[in-house]
Amino acid sequence: MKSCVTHSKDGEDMEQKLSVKKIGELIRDNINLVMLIVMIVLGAIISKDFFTINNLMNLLRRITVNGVMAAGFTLTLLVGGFDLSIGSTLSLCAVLCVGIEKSSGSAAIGMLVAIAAGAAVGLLNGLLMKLTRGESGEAFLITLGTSMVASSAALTYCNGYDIYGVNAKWYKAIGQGNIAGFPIAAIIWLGILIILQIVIKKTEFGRQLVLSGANKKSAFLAGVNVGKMKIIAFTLAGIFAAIAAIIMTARTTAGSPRSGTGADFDAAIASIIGGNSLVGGKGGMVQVFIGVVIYGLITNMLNLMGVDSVVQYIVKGVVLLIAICLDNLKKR
Amino acid sequence: MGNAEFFEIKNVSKTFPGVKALDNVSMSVAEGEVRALVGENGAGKSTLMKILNGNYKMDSGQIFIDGKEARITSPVKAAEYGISIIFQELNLVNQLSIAENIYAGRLKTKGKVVDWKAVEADAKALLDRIGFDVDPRTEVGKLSIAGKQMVEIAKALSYKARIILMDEPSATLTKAELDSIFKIIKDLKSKGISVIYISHRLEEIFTICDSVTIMRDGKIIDTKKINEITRDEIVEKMVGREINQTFPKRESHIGEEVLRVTGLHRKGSKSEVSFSLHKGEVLGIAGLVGAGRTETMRALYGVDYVTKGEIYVKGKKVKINSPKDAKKAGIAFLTEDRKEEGLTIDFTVKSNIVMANMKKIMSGIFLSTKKENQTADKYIKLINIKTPSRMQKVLNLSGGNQQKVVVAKWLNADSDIIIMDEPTRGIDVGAKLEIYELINKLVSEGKSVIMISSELPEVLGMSDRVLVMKDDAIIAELTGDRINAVEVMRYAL
Amino acid sequence: MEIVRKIAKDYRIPLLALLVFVFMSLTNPYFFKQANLFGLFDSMPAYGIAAVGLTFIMLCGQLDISMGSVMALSSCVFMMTLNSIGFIPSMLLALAIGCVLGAVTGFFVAFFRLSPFIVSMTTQIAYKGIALTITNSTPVVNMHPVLVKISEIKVFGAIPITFFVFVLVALLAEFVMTKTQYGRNLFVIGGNINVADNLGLNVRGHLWSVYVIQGFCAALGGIVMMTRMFSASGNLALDGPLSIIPMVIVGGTAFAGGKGGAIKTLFGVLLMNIIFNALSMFNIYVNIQQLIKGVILLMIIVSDKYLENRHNKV
Repeated sequence: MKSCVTHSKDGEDMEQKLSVKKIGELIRDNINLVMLIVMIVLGAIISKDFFTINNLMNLLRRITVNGVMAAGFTLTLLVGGFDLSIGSTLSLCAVLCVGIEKSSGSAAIGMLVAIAAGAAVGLLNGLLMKLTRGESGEAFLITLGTSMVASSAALTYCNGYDIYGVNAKWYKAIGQGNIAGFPIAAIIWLGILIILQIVIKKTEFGRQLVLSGANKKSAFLAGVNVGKMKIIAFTLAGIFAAIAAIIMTARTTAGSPRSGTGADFDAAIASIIGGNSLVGGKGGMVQVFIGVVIYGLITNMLNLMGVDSVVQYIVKGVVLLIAICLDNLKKR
Repeated sequence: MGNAEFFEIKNVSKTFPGVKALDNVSMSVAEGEVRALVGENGAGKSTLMKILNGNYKMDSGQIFIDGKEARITSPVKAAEYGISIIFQELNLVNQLSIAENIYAGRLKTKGKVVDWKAVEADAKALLDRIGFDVDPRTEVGKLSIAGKQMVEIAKALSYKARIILMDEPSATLTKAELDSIFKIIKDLKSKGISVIYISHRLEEIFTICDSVTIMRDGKIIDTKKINEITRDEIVEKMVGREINQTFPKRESHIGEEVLRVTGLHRKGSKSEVSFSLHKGEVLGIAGLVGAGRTETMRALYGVDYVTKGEIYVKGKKVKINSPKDAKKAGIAFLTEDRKEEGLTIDFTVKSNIVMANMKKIMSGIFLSTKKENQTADKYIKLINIKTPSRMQKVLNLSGGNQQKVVVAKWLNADSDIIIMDEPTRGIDVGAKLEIYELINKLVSEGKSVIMISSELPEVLGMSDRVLVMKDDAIIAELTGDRINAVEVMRYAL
Repeated sequence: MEIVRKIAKDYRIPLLALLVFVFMSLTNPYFFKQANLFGLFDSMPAYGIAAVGLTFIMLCGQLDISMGSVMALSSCVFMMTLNSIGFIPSMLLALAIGCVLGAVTGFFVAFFRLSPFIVSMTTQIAYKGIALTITNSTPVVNMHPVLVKISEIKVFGAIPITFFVFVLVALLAEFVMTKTQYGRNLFVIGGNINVADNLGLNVRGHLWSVYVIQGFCAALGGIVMMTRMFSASGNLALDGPLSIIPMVIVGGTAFAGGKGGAIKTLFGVLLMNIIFNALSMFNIYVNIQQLIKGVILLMIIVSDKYLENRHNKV
């Protein structure tokens, strides 16, 4: 506050006003954290079951798939893009993972193929983004196109039918097992978040990724290979969609070519309400965590209140719109 | 010539933060007069134009047309008052026809339906009037620059313009195209329409204009009948400011050649360039805006596509396809577009300073916050960046301090060859001096600097050697006593 | 020679459509059968009308991906109110709702300057949610006699009346685009927004209005769809944007704005539908058709943007 001290009579007054303003700014800059706290308090008020271990673990289990998806999505957001194809990629990887375990008898092969497929879709996105020198506008349309390709591949592979049955015990454990009462899937998710957060904040690669999204021209002039950053970010988003597919199929023991419908939106909403900015270069995995939990709590609460799942679509839309407007407000 | 004070500008002033762009400017133009407006880059011509077009609001002053005050609040108002401005970036929609561009926003209708026949006929009549023989249904995007300018002139006439300002119409025209524009200007003149012709090319001014007004540093220096002034007198008045800036002294120790560029051709360029740079040397690049200075350096640094040419750094041939390659070869580039390209504007001072050389702040495979902070603090202190903290967003710094952040970024990259494009643009005098001192320090340490600047005194005061560019080519190399304003302008204009 | 080149350039999409049509008629005995032709013309109007609406938006250099949900929601309302308030009132209600939905999306785009992708993605989710909520997630089936009647009218035995509605909408839109001051202003805004500003055009108002038009067209498309499906649901037209955007672009309306037209879109719709009909003739599965749709969309975007940006390295 030193710089704000004035020598006029209203000095003190000024200072007070400024600190009110500062608090306002603080709230504005951390609005997402505030939202999270509000949601938790609301949850506790609405339902006495909220703070039970059971409910919390359930919640954690339920948000994991979206959490992994949102982590990948956020990478594309950071690099200045937007990935709408991860939902279809999730579907594709889900049917491949389950289907190939069935046909080959090896869960590991299923998972490897799924991850390879996810990487392939992501790589395609990244290459096309590099080719078009695209930003978020181009990313929207490109990933819309690749999402059709991926979902068509998914439908073709399984002829439009769901594939049931996951055999390997360790495969199921990924989705259903616990370590010391803690869901394995959640451990995987949190591990991913921590690693990504370290990569983004503490490595040269992460810094270059973020710089590419924040201002591609200045990054390019400073010697960053912006095209390469796009390719890597989108490929990783595809890989994380595959990991999400593995976790999801392990929990439900089935792969459906429609399981990813809307999952891209869910990931986008979670990422944005967590405080990741649409303009690129701003945000990280802490925001993803906050956003995914907020989003999970909203869903959880609506469920507890017995709100119809379709009404939740409306709520989701409105929440996203508010989040976008808040993001816009922060820019000013 | 009719009414001698048909168009009058009285005591117009305009200040931008830190710069007095127009200082009590007054001038008057007679009906049917063709007036040349000349001045160095930054003399205030474009500000004046934007005020006349209603894009900027003047701080004080008045504008009169035919003795009546014109309050120009928007481009629409400017057109109503009969003022038309033809900007270098033409105000046309490429996808639409000539006729529609002329009458955009006010198409003739029958009932509520656009009467295309009438619109096209009217457009044809206007085009005929200026002797431009073209189908009015032609898409504007298919026309040459000259053709587009003629469409702009026709558009001006359609607004019943009484005074037309043309901003460097010749910059991109061929000789033949220019002749046809001149013919039209003569024709306009005969119809009593006044023209203010802004150009750097003095030959043209003597061909087409009746009189000339010279601007410098936001002021009108002189207005003369064209037959009462010589080319050299115009040049002198344009550059003839008392050199009120002093440049810090430096003893040059120029060593061996560190950079040699031969036959470098940028995609779309009219010419190839070859030059060399020596250790401990400041090489100034002078020339007018649009002469290809920035473009040449961008090509050298790998920003734009290069079609051919060779680059040798310290005798070794290097291949530069991207800034990354250039950086590896030991070249740094401070862009003229500080906000868009030089900085990541809403990131912190710290992250901007370290971004071009992150190897330096690594510890193992991770970035070390401690080293990052040390590096940032070191440069903040070394070149005196005025910022509350290293965590301040660059956005919130003054222009001069932003520029220092850019400088710090490239100092941190430890490059031996530093290209600076307009390093002191838009920053205050004190910060300028600091930048000059820094350049001296760099060359005294054995580094080499290429400095592009539109501020002539700066080029003259700082350079050991000056290259003058025009039309994408290096047309003169000046050394020793020949580094003076008149010499530079003789080649540049 | 000049005239041939001009025809080839200006009419390549209709010519291509004709070519595929003739080729299919000659090579496949089932193609020119009445039933198939009816199916072909019957599949066009719903998305076709929405595509005409999108053309307005794209002329201004904007985009919308919420039209599928607008179709769904307005047709749900239409089907639900049909029995109680009658055909015409319920149609007007559905159209009015379409306008409002478009206006909401357009409001955020025009006045908040938010990205049209994000905004329309958001409204897409919300509108779908509303549609699912009011229908209780179950399809609304309604064999209203007027609907049945409309579905039975066939011109030349193979062309449904709704196809003419589509053509009429396209002609009307083309008239607005080419013959009115308002329509021409859209071209100026999409072509060079600085020119529009200098002319003093109300850019925001124009941007808002095209979203309202798009909402109206999507609602009309939804109603038209009911004449062959007799069933509305919140999940109607899920592939709307994926199918409609390529039709508009193939027709010749530019992504960047300032270029295009409703008749162009009409032919784009025609060509794409003939191609898909042909693909189904060759026993190409629906799944693969979707793949082809995706690849077409990608080819259009990538070539368009590559050509636009290839002079820059990043």
